[in-house]
Amino acid sequence: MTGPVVTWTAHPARRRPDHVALVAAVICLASWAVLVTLRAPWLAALGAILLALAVAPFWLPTHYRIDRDGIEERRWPRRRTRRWADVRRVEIGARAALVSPFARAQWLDRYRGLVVLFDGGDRAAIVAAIAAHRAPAASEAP
Amino acid sequence: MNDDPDAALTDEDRALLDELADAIARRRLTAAAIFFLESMAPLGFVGSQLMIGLRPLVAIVWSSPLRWDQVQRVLERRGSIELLVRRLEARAP
Repeated sequence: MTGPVVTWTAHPARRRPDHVALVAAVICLASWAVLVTLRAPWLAALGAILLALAVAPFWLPTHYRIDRDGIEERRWPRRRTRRWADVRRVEIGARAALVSPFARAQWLDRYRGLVVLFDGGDRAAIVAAIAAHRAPAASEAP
Repeated sequence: MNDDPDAALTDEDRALLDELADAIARRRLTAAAIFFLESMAPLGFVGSQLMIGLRPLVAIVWSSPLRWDQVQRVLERRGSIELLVRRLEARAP
């Protein structure tokens, strides 16, 4: 089973600085709203932290690697992998792909699937690599 | 990408995980179980140590809780909960 090895780093915040200002404005506005309405600075700070963490894929660089074993995603502080044998569904979008272990779409996709951002990589090459590696694994699956 | 925790398990441990996953899937609890295990995965080792602490109590009911010991041994291994979750995913509809 051979196929291309594709590696790239997605870092949307670096490539779209205008969106950084937008995200920062939303976080500041939400924190300000919490501060004004609840008069609790610690809740405002907590809200800002939670919002910043929620958009971590935007702020932080994510390293991807697609090889014959599977697909790997590394973003501080964690590393996630998904073997091709476990992949049962792939959905390709304009800016990202979902690599899911579930045959049908379900809410657990958000937690158990890998969202592969095309940002910083060659979309066509990534899609081709996923298709090339996935096809033999799917035919070998029981 | 080759550090597969499944390789560290014995055949008996793999059979135990398969059996557990089958039992959960039969009751149509895969989604709930995956959600629960995913949130509790960091506490897997603590759970295994708790099982050691509770063993004398369990031994009152079962004279030789072999299955209890096996589950405890499997939980003690890093990544074992992930292996169970992957088995559940394979059985999800």
